[in-house]
Amino acid sequence: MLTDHERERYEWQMWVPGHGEAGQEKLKKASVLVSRCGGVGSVVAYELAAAGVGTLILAHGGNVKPSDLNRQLLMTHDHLGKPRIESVTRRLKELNPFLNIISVESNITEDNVAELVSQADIVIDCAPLFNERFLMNREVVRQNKILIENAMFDCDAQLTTIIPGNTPCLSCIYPEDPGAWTREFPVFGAVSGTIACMAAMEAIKAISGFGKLLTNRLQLCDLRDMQFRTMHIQRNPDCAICGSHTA
Amino acid sequence: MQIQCSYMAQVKTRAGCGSETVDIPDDSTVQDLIHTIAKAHGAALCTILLDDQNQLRKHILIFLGDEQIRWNDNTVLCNNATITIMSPIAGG
Ligand SMILES: [Zn+2]
Repeated sequence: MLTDHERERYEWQMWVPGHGEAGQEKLKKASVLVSRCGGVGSVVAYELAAAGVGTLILAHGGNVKPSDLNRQLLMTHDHLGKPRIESVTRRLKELNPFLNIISVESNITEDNVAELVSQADIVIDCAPLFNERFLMNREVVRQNKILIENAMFDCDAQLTTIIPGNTPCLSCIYPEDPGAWTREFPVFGAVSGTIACMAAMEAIKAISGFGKLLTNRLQLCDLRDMQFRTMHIQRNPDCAICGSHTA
Repeated sequence: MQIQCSYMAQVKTRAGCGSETVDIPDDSTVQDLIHTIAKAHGAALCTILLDDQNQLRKHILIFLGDEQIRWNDNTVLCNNATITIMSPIAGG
């Protein structure tokens, strides 16, 4: 049940057809894992906090650096040199003090991925390294959870929603670790924030149950020339991660 | 014939352009096209697209129009086809 304050707080989004109070109650009961909370993950977490997702599980290691501040919108200047996850939690609680936040001062690793995914209904992959992305992908396939996969580079961004057994998983799309990818990449916060808002919307739709999810399709966004294209992607029957998985 | 080629992510950076028209002989395949592009743009693009056996790296995505196509199917292309080539991204 929503409280009177929650009915008031979420009134305008409960007007969205297909969502309503029943959808808002689903958001309140939901648990979403976001890792990491950088340029993409900060904005994903902020939008989900604003929308009233009841529990956010947030994993992000390290301390705030000056070079974080052009895009990692939950990091603040006064928190330079201090743990990023503290800044993330504080900013989200300022926006929405009713959230349940499970904060983890670490990135996704082999040691924590199974436990963190098990606590979530949906995982939103915002990691800057493929090894973390592949760990989350493997684990959502094992645990049969939805993975919203979003990423950016320069002025390009991409998004797809992975439902194990029904859609390509990340390893279907990229069957081997892309060696040419590096941890540092050109980025405007407006680009990472754009794809983050789209990913947050996929999570809201998946939880509430309205609209059409971006499954079996890869959304490509080119913000340099403002071109948006939706490509059809295929499962790989020989995929090492999901090849034997049925829905 | 002419193929409309579009590049995304690091492929775009290394090609130095987001799109271009590429001339190839009639009845060429997607493998012919990608070898032509890799040769035209030199080592920086070639190494990201092709392995040392001259085969497409497994993580490079190719689309004909809006449909993903596989390297091994070696699809025959038609004049004015639109091909998109994309390298993996993980910026988060
Ligand atoms: Zn797969």
